[in-house]
Amino acid sequence: MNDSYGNEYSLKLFSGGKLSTTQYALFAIQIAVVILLSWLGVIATPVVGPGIGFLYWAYPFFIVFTWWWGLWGVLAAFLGCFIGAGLLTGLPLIPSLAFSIGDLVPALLVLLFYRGFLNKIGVDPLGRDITKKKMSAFWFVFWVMGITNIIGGLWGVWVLVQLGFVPANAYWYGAGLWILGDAIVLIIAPFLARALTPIVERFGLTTKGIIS
Amino acid sequence: MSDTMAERKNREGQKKYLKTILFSAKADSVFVNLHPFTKFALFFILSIAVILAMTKSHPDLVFSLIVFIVVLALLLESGTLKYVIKSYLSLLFVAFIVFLIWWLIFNQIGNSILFSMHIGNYYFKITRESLYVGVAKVFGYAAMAFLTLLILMTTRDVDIVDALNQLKVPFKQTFFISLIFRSLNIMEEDLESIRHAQFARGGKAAKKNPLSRVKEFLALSIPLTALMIKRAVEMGSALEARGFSKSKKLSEPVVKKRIGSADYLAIIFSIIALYISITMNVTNVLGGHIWTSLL
Repeated sequence: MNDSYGNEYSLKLFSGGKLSTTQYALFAIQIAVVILLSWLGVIATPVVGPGIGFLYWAYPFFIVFTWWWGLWGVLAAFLGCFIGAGLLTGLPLIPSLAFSIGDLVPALLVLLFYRGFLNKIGVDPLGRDITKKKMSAFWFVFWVMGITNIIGGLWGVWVLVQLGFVPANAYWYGAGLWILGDAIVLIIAPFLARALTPIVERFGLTTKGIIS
Repeated sequence: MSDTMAERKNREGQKKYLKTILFSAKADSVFVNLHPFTKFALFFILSIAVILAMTKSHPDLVFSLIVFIVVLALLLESGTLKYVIKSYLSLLFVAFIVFLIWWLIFNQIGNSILFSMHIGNYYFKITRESLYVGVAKVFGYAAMAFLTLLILMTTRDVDIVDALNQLKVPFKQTFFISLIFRSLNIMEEDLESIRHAQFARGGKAAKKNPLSRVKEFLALSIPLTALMIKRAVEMGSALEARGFSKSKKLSEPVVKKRIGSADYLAIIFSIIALYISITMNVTNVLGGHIWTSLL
């Protein structure tokens, strides 16, 4: 295990210089993939509450994309939720915009924490070591499956309550289902990162900074 | 999202249906030919109007019902109602039922009891008032859901690109957005191909246990991501071969939409609807108690 392989990744905006045309195309396609998976996450999984799908398949993808592509992954998280889980499933404009913040904030917090603090203490910023190192596994469970997921769930269901979709009395029940469902699908993320990060790196497609 | 109807033509060789973001719509429909700015404004203003109607202390059932009927009429006019029925009705029906159940369970208000029961220590009741609120919420949600589908089913990705061009959004940003919309269909087809390949090799579908479904999805996710990277590399090379990094602007669209009288009428209608939603409760104006007693 090489502990220093994450050092080239940082929170600088443009560490990798100008974006290549392939990266430009890739960032558009990855947003399309997250939109598609968000849409499937709502229409092809059990609807457990108003605006609440139980297994949101796009979640582990945008987390891994955020590890690889920084702010582009965060953008995918936001647009995936806004268009895929929102507009394409018939959710109106304002609720879609508001509850997409519930995916944007967790992705952004994951990006900042992994490229910043965790990178400094020896955790791989691309998540390759989660299945190998106890410390990395702990931070994944605590930060990605725990704190950020809880923030996203509490925000998302709060928005649905404010817009009159979910009864106020059902807030904790709805948030609990949201958080539990996301935690279950997040199990995929470490395996996805371990299997595919070497390929993405070999093509030179990861972003060393958070934009390029 | 793909559909062969988009290619259907009449005897003169003109397209009867246009490919849109979701499915396709009648080429000669008034609503389809509205300017994208008008559709966006209509979408935005009517969504606010319905949310205001839904979140009133006594939700405005009649207002939501009127918007719902208008949207249904527009779906019919644009030739997209059949797609809603074929592809979304079962999904929306489940969503509406779940919506109503949540409002009946978690909104225990009123004294005019229609049904009651004890489940252990929990006393559950359905009253005229709770049923009214539940039905009003369902119609509000239905109006907005169908409105969203109407906009997506009657708007083309080229309309969005054209609108962004008119707003003078820089070429690279506009092209990036058009690439997202164009990639949606490609990636959907790729996902289907991977699924079929896995079934052909003995993969199982529709497992009920959530953990089994996660495992099943993991098998799908790795080839999907690998294919996505392959597509991006191919697309990047194709774009570069056409001098993309040196390009300054998109080619001019063949047909440019202009704002006409139908656009002004649509905007006026939505502003009137918003004004009504802010200033009054249509259900109460039309004798609110009568609507509750009908339930």
